[in-house]
Amino acid sequence: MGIIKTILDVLGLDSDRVYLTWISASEGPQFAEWAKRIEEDIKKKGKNPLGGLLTT
Amino acid sequence: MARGVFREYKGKGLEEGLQELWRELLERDVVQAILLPMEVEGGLVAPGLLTDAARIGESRVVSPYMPVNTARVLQMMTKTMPPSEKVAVVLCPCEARALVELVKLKQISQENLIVIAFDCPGTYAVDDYKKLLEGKEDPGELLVEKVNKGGEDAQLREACRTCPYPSAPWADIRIGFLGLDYKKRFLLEALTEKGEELITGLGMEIADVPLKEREALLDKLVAQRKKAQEQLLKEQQEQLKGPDKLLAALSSCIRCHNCMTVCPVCYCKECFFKSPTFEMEADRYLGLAHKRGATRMPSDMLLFHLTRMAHMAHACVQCGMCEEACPMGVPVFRLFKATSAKVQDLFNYEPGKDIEEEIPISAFREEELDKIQEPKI
Repeated sequence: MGIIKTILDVLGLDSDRVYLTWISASEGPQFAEWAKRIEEDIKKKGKNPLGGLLTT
Repeated sequence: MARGVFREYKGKGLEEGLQELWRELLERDVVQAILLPMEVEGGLVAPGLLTDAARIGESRVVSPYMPVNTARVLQMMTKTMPPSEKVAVVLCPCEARALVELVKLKQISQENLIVIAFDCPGTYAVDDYKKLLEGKEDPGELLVEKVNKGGEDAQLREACRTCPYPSAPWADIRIGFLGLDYKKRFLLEALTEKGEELITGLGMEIADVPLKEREALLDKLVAQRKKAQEQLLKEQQEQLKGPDKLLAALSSCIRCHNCMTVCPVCYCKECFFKSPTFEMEADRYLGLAHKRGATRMPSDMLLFHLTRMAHMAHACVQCGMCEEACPMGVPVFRLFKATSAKVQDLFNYEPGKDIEEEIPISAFREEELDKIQEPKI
């Protein structure tokens, strides 16, 4: 994860769109909470700037 | 101070002085073969496995040209079964550093290998080197002289101009001719027991040798190279950063995988990019096209380079072979240099420096880089 985020930062790609968290199979509420949080974050950020580009 | 010995020679040039050493290694049966740069048909240079002392005259260690990273050759040679005879392998620093990484990854066996790393003032790209060969003087000796006088050659490959390792950090033996009276003698420096055995096998005695001038020249050269490295990283940030600039740089990529094939530390036998993941049926491509309105074919240029970076950044020795092999002018080296420099900083890891040091991604630490993880809810 450290590697991926560092690479994205150097290349100027938004590393905040990548998440890592550890959730146990017994932690249902935490899973739901993360899903909500990521959805909110991404809505705030808007469309992926790479979305419409061809060389991806 | 170093443990080693100076080897005086009466040859016409440094290359011949070194050739005397190779000849002696074979004739005294210290080793039975030597893997070293040899002149090939037409004048270029390539690694050759030499067993006959009568052909020593074809060796070209001082030649400032590097067609492949020889660590890759050693992986091919030793992975299935190490040699049954002793082989001296003569490498430039970035090859020795790649070897260290491949030994750690169990891709090269050190059994019966003696690693000899020579000082490298830099190398030229193939077309530049061909032109230099047309000149009267030997481009290798010219470059050694220039760098020994504190100069730098702007024509060297970018990887070499920005390389802070003119002398290898690890080897069994280092051969030094920078910062020394190289027209008369060169240095054989033993860094390991195997290295000491090789020197004593030649009937020479190891002693403490003072290297003040050599260290001063190397420090100066390294400082120069680090400055060039900073400049490169700055230019990457200005010219290649962000989706538009990055994709413009990658847009000429044809996914030929040359950069991957020549990369010394890209070693997986079963490559992700040759896996069924990329054997997609037409409808999967259509699905991508429908989702985005259009998709480039073949696809996944960015994914290809990002995946290679994620796999290789910690171990990249920045030899620049990737860019030499690129037929389309993609600035692969710049992108890899910039990303791997930061990833290596993150783990405080210098690939090739220490053969005993663990690779950061295979070493388990209970607490590591916690800032990167999302906090617990």
